[in-house]
Amino acid sequence: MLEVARLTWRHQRGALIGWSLALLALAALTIAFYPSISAQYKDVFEAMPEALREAFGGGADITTLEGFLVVEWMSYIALAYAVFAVSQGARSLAGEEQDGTLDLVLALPLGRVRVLAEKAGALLASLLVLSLASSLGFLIGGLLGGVDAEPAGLVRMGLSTWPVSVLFLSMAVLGSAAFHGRGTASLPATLYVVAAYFVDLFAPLVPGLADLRYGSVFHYFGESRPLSEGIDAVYWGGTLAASALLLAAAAALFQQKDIKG
Amino acid sequence: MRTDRGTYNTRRAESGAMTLALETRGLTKDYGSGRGLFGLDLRVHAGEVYGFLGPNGAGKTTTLRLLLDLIRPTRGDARVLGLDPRHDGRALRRRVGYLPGEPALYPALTGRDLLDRIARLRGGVDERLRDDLAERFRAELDVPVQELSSGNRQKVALLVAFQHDPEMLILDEPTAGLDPLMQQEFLDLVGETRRRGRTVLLSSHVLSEVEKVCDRVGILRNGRLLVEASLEELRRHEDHRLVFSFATDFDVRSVLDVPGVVGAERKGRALRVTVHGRLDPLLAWAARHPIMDVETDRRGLEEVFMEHYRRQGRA
Repeated sequence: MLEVARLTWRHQRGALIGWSLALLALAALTIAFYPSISAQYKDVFEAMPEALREAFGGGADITTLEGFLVVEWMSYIALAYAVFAVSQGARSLAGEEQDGTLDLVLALPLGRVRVLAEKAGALLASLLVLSLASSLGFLIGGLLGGVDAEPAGLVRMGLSTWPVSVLFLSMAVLGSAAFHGRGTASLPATLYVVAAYFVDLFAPLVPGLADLRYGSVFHYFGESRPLSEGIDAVYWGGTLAASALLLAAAAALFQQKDIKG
Repeated sequence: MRTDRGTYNTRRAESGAMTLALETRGLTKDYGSGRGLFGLDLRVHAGEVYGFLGPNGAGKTTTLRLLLDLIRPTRGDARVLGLDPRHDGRALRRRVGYLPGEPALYPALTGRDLLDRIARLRGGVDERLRDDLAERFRAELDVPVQELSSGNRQKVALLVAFQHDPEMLILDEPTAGLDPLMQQEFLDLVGETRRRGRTVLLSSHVLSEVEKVCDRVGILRNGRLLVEASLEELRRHEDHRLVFSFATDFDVRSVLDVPGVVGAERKGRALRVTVHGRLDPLLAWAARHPIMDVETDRRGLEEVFMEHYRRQGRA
């Protein structure tokens, strides 16, 4: 039962453990230093032009915990998740095809859709583990730093990375279903991540980019307020629905794909 | 014997009563620029060991991958154990064992872990059979695959193919990396597999192993089946070489007029002759001279194959 998923988990176990520990530590350190550095940041942030403040914090109030986390963590953390999601997504099919191990699996009495579904499922679970690692980091760092915050809100803050990383993973799996090597497979998702990040970053400064930011998942991620407002239905629903469509397209492509020997 | 120039009698292939384990009709995979497989018509009977011969790039691996639905044909169709690889792939692969060329295994897993996982994906295997095979091949199953030599990795890959006792085995260069003892062990295993009614389709460019174990061979070149025959037939239709030692001088030009003689080389009173087809005209010519000795040159399959290859290249 779910043997392909378990094999995928086993295959990326080392990377998952390393990334989880790193993200846990990063989240813990970020929140633990909030009480001591937020006051110093306040003056700097208030001196910034409004457009720059908008770019780096989406207009968030740096003096609040949520505003601090938006500026100090959410503004870049999705990029870290993107690196893991895209590399693992590209490796899932195209990487294994390049290594030759996909032959081993596809020569078994398994349908290709099942293989893709189990692999994607295992990677979605891995991303959830990474998001929970951030949640756990916030809880630990909050305790250590004496931060007054609702634990459920901190868990939501960590979990908010899951939809955005799921989208990046789905893009990479689509590339993996379409192309034969992990480099080529990761290229479309990487281009989207880079373009979407900079569009979202510079849209407040460049009027011509204003409309384009609605095509950037970073915009919806950065606009969500998981600590104070809970789950953002537009961000979660929209991102996960888009991911489902991408995975369905990946399944259709993978069904037709010639596996290189 | 069947060639691209005509059809001859073939004992097994002509026997309508035998069950076909594999049949392809016009099977084509066109990669462009003349690469791929073109119009393959192939029939392999149940219980037969069929060898695919050909140089690298001839289309052997492409054929095997088409049969497992790892790649899809441009044209034509195939039936493996009565099933269409494209539409009945899962059912087909349940009954087939596959050894890819240069098999890749998950490097961090031990051989035993890998075999267990694959067994579960297959819905279970006969563990006693697997253990017997592991012992027979002296496979190191408790060492991570990444620490194994290529030969030991090949042994694990062979166990993957054989462990569920499939009705048909599709093996791409199965002895690559194995030492001579293990190669012999493998050939013995294929022989036993055939005696148990299983069908084996293997590709190789190690011609001596094909010669030892195959009932029939097909020679591929540039994606086309040049010739298909039993080994005996292949030899029978090929050229013979004879070396005569005569007691007296002889006219070497006269031997070139003998029907069937395609080449002659004189060294003193010795004559090396190459004959295509029947030998009796040459023997009649030779009998007119005092013969001190005669040797026949029984050629290995390698030479037969190379001659076919050269001849088709000239055609």
